[in-house]
Amino acid sequence: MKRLWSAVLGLALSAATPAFAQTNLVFAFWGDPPEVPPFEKIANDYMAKHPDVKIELQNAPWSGYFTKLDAQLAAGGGPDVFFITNVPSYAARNTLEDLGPWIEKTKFPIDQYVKDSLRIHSLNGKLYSIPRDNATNVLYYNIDDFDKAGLAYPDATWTWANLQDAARKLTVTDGGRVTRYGLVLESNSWPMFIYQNGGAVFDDPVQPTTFTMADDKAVAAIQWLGDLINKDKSVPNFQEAGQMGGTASMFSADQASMSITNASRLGSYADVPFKWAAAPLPAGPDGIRANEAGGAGFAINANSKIKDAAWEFMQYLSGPEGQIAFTSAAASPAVPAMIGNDDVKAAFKAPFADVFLSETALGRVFPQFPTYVDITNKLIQPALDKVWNGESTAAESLGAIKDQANAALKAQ
Amino acid sequence: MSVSGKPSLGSQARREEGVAWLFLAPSLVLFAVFTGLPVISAFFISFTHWDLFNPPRLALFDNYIALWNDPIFRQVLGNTGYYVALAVPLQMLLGLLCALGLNRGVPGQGVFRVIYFLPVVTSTVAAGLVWAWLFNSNFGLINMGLSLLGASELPKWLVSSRWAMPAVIAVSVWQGLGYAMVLFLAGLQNIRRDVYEAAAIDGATGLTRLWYITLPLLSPMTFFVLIISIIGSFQVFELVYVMTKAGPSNATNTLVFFIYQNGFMFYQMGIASAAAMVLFLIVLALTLVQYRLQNRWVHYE
Repeated sequence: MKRLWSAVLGLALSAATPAFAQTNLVFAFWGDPPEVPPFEKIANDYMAKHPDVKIELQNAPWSGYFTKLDAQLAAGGGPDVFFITNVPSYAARNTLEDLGPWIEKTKFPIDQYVKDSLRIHSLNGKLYSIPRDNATNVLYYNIDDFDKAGLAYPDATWTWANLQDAARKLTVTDGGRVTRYGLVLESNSWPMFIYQNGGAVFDDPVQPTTFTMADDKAVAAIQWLGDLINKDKSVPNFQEAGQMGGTASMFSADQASMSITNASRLGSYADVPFKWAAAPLPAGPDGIRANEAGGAGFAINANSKIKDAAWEFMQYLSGPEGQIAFTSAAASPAVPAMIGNDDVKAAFKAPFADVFLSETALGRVFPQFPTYVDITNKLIQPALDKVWNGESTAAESLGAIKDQANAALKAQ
Repeated sequence: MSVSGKPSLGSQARREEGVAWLFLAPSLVLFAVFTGLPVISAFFISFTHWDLFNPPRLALFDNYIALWNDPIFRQVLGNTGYYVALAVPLQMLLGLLCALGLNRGVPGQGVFRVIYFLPVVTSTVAAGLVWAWLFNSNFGLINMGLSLLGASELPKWLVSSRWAMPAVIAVSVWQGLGYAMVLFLAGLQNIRRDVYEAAAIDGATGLTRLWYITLPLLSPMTFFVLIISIIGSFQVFELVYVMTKAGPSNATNTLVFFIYQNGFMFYQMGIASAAAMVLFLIVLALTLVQYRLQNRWVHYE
């Protein structure tokens, strides 16, 4: 009986094992169904070129991705290559492979990436991930709503005053309640408005020593956003906007006539029943233009057993081939990160590609360092909540957390 | 009969005892692995600094001291107390009223029972999302109704420090009321008819009957509902997560949410475990106090 079983087992094993040695590489990423095709294409193309490698794709929606990844990493396992954000935090926990030696050994053209955007993928001068795209924001506007209101379309000459004025005029109210907002914003894009006003969140976004969000310019920017929500009532409160589906749904459903968000929304806006266009972001009151730099990136697991194979795949994924696949994806074109490569740049043919590219050049790095998650959740977000709901002024609210924030920076 | 006072078991009884353990084993093993072990580990983790990724370091009482000095934790304790103090009595009172109403044998009793019980079996996440839309200060049905009634200054509900918690409490009462009602109904139907008949002969009617017969005889069930409601309320999480994410400015941050935040957003397992121990002690203390007090108001037949 025993012999029979081992014979069956042996047969099954020999049937499952291919004739040559195969490397199994696990590649994890987040994304909704429309965002999946470029990942599949890259994996399939790579496997066609490397028959000895089998790539197993692990896809999860954004909401559940990090819970799963963290659990896997904490258990000492996890995918070999994965899509990642909050890189400094992960690097500080020793979960990511330092890419520097690999880049040097294989002469990977890292200089074709925007140097500044690599800073949020690094910790203490070591690079831990390679960015996939740029989270460049643009001003999307509903042409039909502008025509009905008799307003001039946004263009490169716009400043905050023009935006505020148009948002007010596009807002529709009924008996004291807003039925359509002039503008909807992303809840986490407030640092961009601070930059446009000539302020900063910290003295340095990746190696901070001082909290500068309670300084005049930053306070004025936050107060301006708070006034759009509470005085003009032309922008929805971020929490409520999120529950309504955020920039994706509210602009698509004409519950907001303008939205400031990134290229990932091009997919959601593709089939809306009205005409729309995208314009550069308005400049701040002093004429300063600024946008968000950098995006999510790809990293190698520090615990991976097959780092050679993982880096081999990374070079393809983050090289021109991978970048072109992402940037030319039909449903969700990404603003390429490898902007110094002419082939990649030429492959970016998304609607309003010229607007995205010119705005990408204005990109500024958002705060990103290991203790930022803590500082933002415990101090900044609760302080901002009170400005967004009109219960406090920006000066009062941000002034109250200044000392604690500085103490937290010193303690890190 | 044995002299020691403890009856010795015959072989038949001993065999039955073995069978009993056999039947209990699956649930005991599951309890030990998925509840007992984690509780014991949490106790030890609460004395360490641990980020989940690197080996834990001994912290002794650091985490407990950090909690004591943390203004957010104090706010969280206050919020949780506020929630429990409002949600538990409201849920019990309304559950009791519904049960008393349905127990009178109103027509369509079965239908009403289903209607009141439906929220209990509805997924909390789905219910929380729908309620968040209802509470939306502009597009929401609640403020639409209020403005139709002529209200000019409309509450901002979930984004207001003052109204967010009452809104969450209202939804949790709506959701928990059916459960309390079903338990009270079972309690009411257990009260013997002849007690009422005797009371009727003595001339008791209406409120007197309710006050002197129904409520005292229902008290064991009331005690049970009270304990499970308090324990359940201290553990409120899903509604907060879906409706407010603990905002605005921690106005709806409760103990279990705080534990989740520290454990799985800030990766401070030590702090999270210490907060979990505090929660355990609070619930344990409250339950013990209630057991002590039950002699004064709980009447077993």
